Amino acid sequence: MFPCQPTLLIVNKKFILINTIADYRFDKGILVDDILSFSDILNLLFEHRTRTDGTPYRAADVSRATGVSASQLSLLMSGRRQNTSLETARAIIGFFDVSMEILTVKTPEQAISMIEDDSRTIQLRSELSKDLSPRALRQISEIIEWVIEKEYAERANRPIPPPPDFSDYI
Amino acid sequence: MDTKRVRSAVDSLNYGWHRFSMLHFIEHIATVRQRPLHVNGVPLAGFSGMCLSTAHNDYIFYNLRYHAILQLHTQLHEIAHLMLGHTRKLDLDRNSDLGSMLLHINNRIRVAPNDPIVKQEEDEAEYFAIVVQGYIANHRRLHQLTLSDHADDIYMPPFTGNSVSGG
Repeated sequence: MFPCQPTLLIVNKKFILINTIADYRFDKGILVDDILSFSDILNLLFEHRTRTDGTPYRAADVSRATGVSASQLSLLMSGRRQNTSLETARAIIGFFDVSMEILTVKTPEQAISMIEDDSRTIQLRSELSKDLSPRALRQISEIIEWVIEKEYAERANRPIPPPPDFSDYI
Repeated sequence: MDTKRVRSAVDSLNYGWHRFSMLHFIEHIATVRQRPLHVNGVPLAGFSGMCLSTAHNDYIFYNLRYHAILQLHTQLHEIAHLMLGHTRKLDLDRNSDLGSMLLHINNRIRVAPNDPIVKQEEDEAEYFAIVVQGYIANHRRLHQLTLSDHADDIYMPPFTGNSVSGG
């Protein structure tokens, strides 16, 4: 489990505060040379985790939702800055709803596999054995869109959107 | 349908059926599954319920306009799908109305297809709901009978020479 707060480690009688992604990787016993750079991970996140309509997120979306400044994001994405605080990394990776374990992957393929992990897809079950009316289809669509918006808001620490108005269906 | 597996799934919940209320049961299921379960009664357009699972939450929507017994049954039926692991990851039928609509919303949605396995899963969920309702009925009554207000219900009337009907 990834620590939510900086953690104090004792290594060779030295105290190490796990404060940055480099510390986190060190704590996992991973050599920096072996793993994907944070810049590569960020670029893969933007490429493979899209909006619900399939269009890519923009840096401004992430910046607005996470509070990480656009300039800092730009430095990290370009690789001009390789290390950052855990708080920043958690905010960005959390925005894309991916496990922090992505910081430990070694290849782009592993990262993409984590990003596209099917366990994070929405599973829907309804009475599909019978034909659903156009109204029912529209309503199911509204419910799913609300769930997606709600979970997105929760991840981004934003107010939960109001549930759909079903008065039309009464 | 493997009725033994379904009954075993109900028994493994280790739930105190005499305490049953829908809210209490939902809380218990969320504890067992170690993830939030959101159950919402809404006026649905001609179908009794649906179940959604995301990475972090489970959602059940049931039709508030239906009779209370059917509302209860639908909630138990949808909970059954969660507890029986009816969560196959399958691609949408892109040619169906529902498939094309959902893919338009989110290309990562998966919907259980209409195939023989789904039919079996629906049967299992129905059986799960029926078993649970049987437990509720039995335990609820037994519990009520042990309350002082219902004490008269479990004692035979004093012997007067006239036999009691029944059995």
